[in-house]
Amino acid sequence: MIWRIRMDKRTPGKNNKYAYMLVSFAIMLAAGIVAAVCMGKYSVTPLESLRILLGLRDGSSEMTINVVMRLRIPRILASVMVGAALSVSGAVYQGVFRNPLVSPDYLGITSGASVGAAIGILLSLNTAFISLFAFAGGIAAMLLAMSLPVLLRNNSNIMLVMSGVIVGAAMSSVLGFIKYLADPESQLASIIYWTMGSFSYVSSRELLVIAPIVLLPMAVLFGMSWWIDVLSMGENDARALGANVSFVRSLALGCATLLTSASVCIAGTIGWIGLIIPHVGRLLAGPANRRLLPLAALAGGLFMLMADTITRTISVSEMPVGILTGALGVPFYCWLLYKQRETLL
Amino acid sequence: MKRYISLLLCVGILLSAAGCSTGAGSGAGGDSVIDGSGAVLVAPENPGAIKIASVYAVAVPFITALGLTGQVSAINVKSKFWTDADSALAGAGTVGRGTVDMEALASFAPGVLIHRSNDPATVDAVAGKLGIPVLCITVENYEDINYTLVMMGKYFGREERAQQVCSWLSGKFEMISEIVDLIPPGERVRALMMGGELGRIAGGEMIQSWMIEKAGGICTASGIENNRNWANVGEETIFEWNPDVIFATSSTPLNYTVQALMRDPAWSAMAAIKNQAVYIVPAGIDSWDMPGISSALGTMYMLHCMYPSYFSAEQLQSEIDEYYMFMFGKTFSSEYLGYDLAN
Amino acid sequence: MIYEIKDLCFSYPTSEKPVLSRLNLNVGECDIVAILGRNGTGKSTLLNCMLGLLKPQSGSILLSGKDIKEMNERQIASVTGYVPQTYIASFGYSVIDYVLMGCASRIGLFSKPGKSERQDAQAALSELRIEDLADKPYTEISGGERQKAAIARAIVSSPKVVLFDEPTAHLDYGSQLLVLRIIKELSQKGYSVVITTHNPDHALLLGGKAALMDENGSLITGSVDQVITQENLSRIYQADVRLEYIKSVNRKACVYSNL
Repeated sequence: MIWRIRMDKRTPGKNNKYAYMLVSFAIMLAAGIVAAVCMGKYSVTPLESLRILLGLRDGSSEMTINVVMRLRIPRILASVMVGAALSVSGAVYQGVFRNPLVSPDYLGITSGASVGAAIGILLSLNTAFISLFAFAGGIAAMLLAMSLPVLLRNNSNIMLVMSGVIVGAAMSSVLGFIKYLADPESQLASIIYWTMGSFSYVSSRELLVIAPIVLLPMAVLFGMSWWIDVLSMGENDARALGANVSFVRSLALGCATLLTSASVCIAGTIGWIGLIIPHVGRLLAGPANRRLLPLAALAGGLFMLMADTITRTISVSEMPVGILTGALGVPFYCWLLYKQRETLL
Repeated sequence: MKRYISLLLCVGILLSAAGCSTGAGSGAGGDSVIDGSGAVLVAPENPGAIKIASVYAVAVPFITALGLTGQVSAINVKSKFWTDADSALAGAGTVGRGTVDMEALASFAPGVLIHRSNDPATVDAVAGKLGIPVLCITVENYEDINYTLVMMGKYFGREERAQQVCSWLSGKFEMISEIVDLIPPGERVRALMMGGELGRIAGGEMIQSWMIEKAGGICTASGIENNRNWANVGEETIFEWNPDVIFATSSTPLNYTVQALMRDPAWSAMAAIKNQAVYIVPAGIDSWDMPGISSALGTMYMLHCMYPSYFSAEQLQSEIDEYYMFMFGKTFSSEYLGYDLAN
Repeated sequence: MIYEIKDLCFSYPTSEKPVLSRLNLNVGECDIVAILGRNGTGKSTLLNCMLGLLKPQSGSILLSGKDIKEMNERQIASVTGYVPQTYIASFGYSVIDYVLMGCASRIGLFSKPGKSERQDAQAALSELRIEDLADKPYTEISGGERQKAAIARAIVSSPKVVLFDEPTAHLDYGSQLLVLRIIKELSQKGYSVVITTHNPDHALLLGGKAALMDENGSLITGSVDQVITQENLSRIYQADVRLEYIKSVNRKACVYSNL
């Protein structure tokens, strides 16, 4: 079913209005990062946190410096990066599949990454290997989903969607089997916690490894954003317009999948962001991807930063951040649907 | 005078029996027990002959301690230690790991299934559909351990052995308390038990935290209420606590190593790291921090790690050997069990 | 010659019967060619082959003298413009952004339309007299306006030929005439035009050439007067169709006889 979503009554922003929006979000994100650095369960004043951040560390204990620089900063940067990655990935999937209801796990990537991580937990591997397995699982799921249409000699969008459904279902079965094999008193809880999403275990080293895998595909997607608009015209139209649909689609989906896999491998499965933030971006900046993708990146980074900061400060036990994004996402999505109820067909 | 002393002895025995027995069979004519889920079960007429099955690994030490391994037809053991230690278990079959395979259980047709308390669906299915009694056990703290020993002792006609084990346990914990009483308050150390992932710790209601306190430590997680589950408090909270000693559980695989933790610059300022006081509680194949009879060993180990001058490595090794001799009639090398008191 | 199609044969993998069978068609400069036929005779299939979207089993299609099999999508799109039958918009792009997509044949993978493309898009909108709709969301304009926007998109890169797939299919009576007028004007401005249509009257209005597809997948081609005869129409459409000269408008018109 193809959904039509009209834009808000406001016409797409002209260049200076869009620029103003982008700068505003960038400022909010920067402010959010600074605020997040100052917040946490470890007792350190906001002023001292800021001084440490700015390199003025005399008078601060080594422990305090470690908390700010080695615990909070990597986690904050990871949450911003993952929020941006999932939002951009979601927007790209929605554009390529011409469906605003699509989310980044459409090709079974999240399920595949969950399977990879679960295998790592089952084998009692350390965090780094669990992340690696998660990444590999996501990529494997994507390759499977994209190879089925090639094998069946039908490269249409609908075939790709069906492949994604098949791969996702298959991966969910495998995950269920792994949960069955797991030690119910220890490993099962770890697998379940991982699938709910958390930034608790992000290290600086992981961040450094993952950052290029996020930033490079994101740069590629920003560069080719206009072609995602062309793809959203439909396969025949896009080809008639001159697009090498197979190549452009593969490149776009490949980059989006890398973003999703990288996000899942450091933070587990976090839902709703890839679905909701693109909608917010379209409401603010219109559907053209050259405007949508950068704005979605900033808005997604900000949203995820806020969600993770809440989960790590609000209670003694850290709630998985995926629960909070779901709890915030569901009513927000209902509100979006309510706003657009007359235009959804 | 003699009559007076005899009277005192009787009172003393009665009081000891009362202290080790907390409602395991009270009021039901002696033939029934109240299991860990509160259900009343009638003890079998010929308890020495009934076959025992279980999928609950926590039950294995209790079965072993009470000398019931010869009656086991199907069991789930966490490691090969149990089959190495007691050849009677090596020949046992299996009816599942954690969850019961109903048809396998039916084919084994045991006289009783020993299971965990928080699984009423399995209890109903096994008892209702197969007519096999289910004896549930809850083992979360020291009181539970005692209760379970006495209750199982009564059910299987091993009251005397249960009493022996209870006495051994209480004796060990009394010894530990006496040593701890010697430690001045100013020397007390702050400690916590880390779980399988960094940032996941044993909550205040878990036996691991009780063990730390029993061993004279100040458990930094004592205020964490998490329904007797591992709590994900995050690394920052642990940094806030800044414990002097960190114990890591051996009841679950760890996704970190002590060496990596010691080398991690983020953790370098923590007192436990500076003190080089990060210990994985032994033993890999027979975890001493799992709720059970070996919790006494785990507590002694913690006492040694936190206060080595009050409880030396030699004393600990002697207790370890005594425990295994008491439980299995033999000792095991530290290499086999997987610990090194020199570190 | 813009298109030279010789002995074109095409069948779908799931079908035994060929859809197009030894089909011949030429489209010259400034030609208007109306392709008519019953449902399912392959009009859209032929159009898709002419756009390079489908690969025929045999025969040849020369587009501006080059074999279309040796051209990639970009090369084909630089010569052709395409107005699809319908477009269901998933997202409310602005009309100008929609029209700019017609410049895809000259935009690199990591590029976006620049000033030159924007000027061309504005010019195309002006040519269709819808420049005031530039910033409006595509999803908020009428059917006739959407068709004009689609035409603007097709001509923005100044193609040699514009192909229309049933351009009047979902339009009201007035909008149909408007679109036909625009098509006629395009031809007069130097574009070659190929349209598929169910309505012989539209072919008559446009004049130029006609190609009538029969059930065997072949074409009867010629001028509109040669092809659109009562006999041909009755045979192809299996209907009692009359061609009558209407004095007041000085042209032949196609009418049904009574129901």
